[in-house]
Formats: sequence, C-alpha cells, structure tokens
Amino acid sequence: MLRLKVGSDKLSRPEHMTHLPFLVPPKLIAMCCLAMLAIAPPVMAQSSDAAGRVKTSIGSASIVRGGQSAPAAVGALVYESDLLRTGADGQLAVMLKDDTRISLGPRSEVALAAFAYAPADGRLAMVLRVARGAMAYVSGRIAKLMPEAVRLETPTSVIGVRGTHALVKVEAP
Amino acid sequence: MTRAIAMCGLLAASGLAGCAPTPAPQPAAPPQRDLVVLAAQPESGEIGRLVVTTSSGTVELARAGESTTVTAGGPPGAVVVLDDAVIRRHFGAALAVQPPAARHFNLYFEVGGNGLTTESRVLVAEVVVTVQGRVAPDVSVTGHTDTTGSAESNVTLGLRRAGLIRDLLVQAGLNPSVIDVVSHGESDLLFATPDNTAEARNRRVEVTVR
Repeated sequence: MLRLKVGSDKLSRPEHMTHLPFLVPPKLIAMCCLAMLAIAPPVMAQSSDAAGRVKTSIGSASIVRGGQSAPAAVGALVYESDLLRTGADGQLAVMLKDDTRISLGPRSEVALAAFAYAPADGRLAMVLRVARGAMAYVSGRIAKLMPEAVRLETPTSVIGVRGTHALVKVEAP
Repeated sequence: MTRAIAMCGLLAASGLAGCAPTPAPQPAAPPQRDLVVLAAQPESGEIGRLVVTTSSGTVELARAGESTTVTAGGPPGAVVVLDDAVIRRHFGAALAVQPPAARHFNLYFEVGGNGLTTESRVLVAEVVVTVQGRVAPDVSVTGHTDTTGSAESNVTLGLRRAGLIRDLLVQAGLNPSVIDVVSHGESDLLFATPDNTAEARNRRVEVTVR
C-alpha cells in the first residue's frame, strides 16, 4: 500500500517522491480510490469464496485448514474442506451461504467435505462428515433445490437428507 | 424376539400407539456407535425425512423424534422414538448454540424502471435493522429473473439488478464487506413457469440476512 506522508518532515520522504504531494493532492488520490471501488465488479465482495461464517464459538473451538489449526473466532470465514473441531468445553455454530446451520457440541469433529452453492452454474453440493461428537444440522437452500446433493456421513453410515433438521452423534471408537 | 422389536419399529413408524407392555429390552447404555435423529425444523416445525444407509441396510426416519442407532458393520437399527429429554441429553450443547434462521426479503422494481416499488423501499429499511440485530452478519443479494431470454443473459441481468440493491443497502448504512452479490438468473424461480415466460413475480432481488 502506497502511503504518502505530507507532514513537515521533508527529510524522511524518499527522494523520488518528493514532488508527488504537490502534483497529486491526497484528496484527489482518495477520490480516485473511491472511483476504483465504485467500478470494481460487485462479485468481488470479500466473502464470496467462503462457504460460511462462524456465528457462535464457546470454549475451545477451532477450524483446521490444510493441516493448520486456528481458533474459530466469531465472524471467521469457513471454506470447503475445512474441519470444525471442538474440545471438551467447546461449542461451535456455523452458518453456510445457502442458509444451512451446523452446530457442534463438545469433543466434536465435522468436516465440510464438499460445498458448492452456484445454482446458475448447476453446481450444488453439500457433504458433511461427522467424525466424532454431536452435530445438529438444519438444512438450507441446497436441500430444497437438489436434495440428492446433500449427504451427511458418519464412520458407519451415509444419511440422505430430504429437508429440515437432523441430529447426528458419533461415539469415538 | 427380533420380530417383536421389528414390529415395534413398524408400529412406531406408522404412528400407532407403542408396543404392548411386553418386556421389550430397552438398553440403558447401548454399545452404540452412531445415533441419527430426525427433529422438527426449529422455527417452522416442518418435518423432513432422513434415509440412513450402511453397507448392509437402509432405514428411513420420517417423524419427529424418530432415531436409529448404527453399530459398525451392521444395518441401521430399528426405528426408536426418542423423547425430548433424551434428545437434549445427547444434543443439548449443539442445539443450544444453533443460530437463528436466515431471513429473506424479496425486493421488486417498478415496471420498466430502475426504482423500487414502495413496499420494497420499506423492506430496505427492515433489512438494515435485521442486519444490525445479528452477530457476525452476512448479507447475500441475489438477482433473479424470469425465463424470458437466454439463461446466460439472465445471469447478467440478475447481477445488474442485484448490484443496484447492493448500492441502496450501502447507502442505507450497511458495511459493504458483509454483502455478497450474486445472480441466479432464471435457475431459481419463485413461481415455476415454462421457458420464455414473462412473470413479474420472478423478476426480483432476494436479500438474505444470515
């Protein structure tokens, strides 16, 4: 990010840009930036690649992405292939882009193994893999538009969802 | 005995009163592996259907509270109706943090113009209030069209309309970084029609607050 210092300390200013503040007033730069924002395609919104967002996080709760674990802070984005994990005192709730709600009790692990919500391209997918613990799932738009695109998996079974509210508990072996 | 249990499951599934008071074994702490329960939708009370499949069998859950327990290597167990206390014991912590349902607002443009109808202008203010009442909110602005014209041109048209609504929401005070703008074109009709059918109710921008 280019930062122009317009204070009185001329000596600290890099030689090659000493003339810039006079030719390009900061106000004009700001206006240019705003104009660029205004013409930027709206689909570039920050969260557009994410599958969803953490809405509640209590106790020990984390998101594992590419082998790296990070605390699942409220507001954190969730992506396809992420693993949601809670510890002995943890509870975690995530809402996905298609309105699906996922919430976890303590000592739980759920992977968002597949997620796609692009009806215009015909791409709809939702696979939740419960490895351990307790999950409450409330279906969203994908289940309405294409029920066969939704699958909940446990170590022993595959659960097809035709709408609404499923509770899944997996006892760790 | 096995047959009696199966009958129990059938009776429960068909909604008839419980089994006769034969000493049906109710294991207090079954050696369960996975437990799957169908519950009513928290807000609407709507009840869907779950189909639980293993390599050796399939069980369908179709009523609120119906459950099946699956032990590794076996078929899903017979359907058992769980009462609320048992459901809370297993899932209370997960249910306690369930987020509130998403809210949807359909906004319509005046015929032949870029301005919103009076009703829709009122809804814009309601969207803003709803967003302000949420923790870590997300807003999706989704353009929809009717089936007039090609699918591709309708995606573009939907995106343009959605962009107009996004600008209105930002003017009304929403943080642009929580707004996602997309177009579903003619792929997600509110009122089903054949292709190339003009239908004003399908030409809308849907704002979802999560």
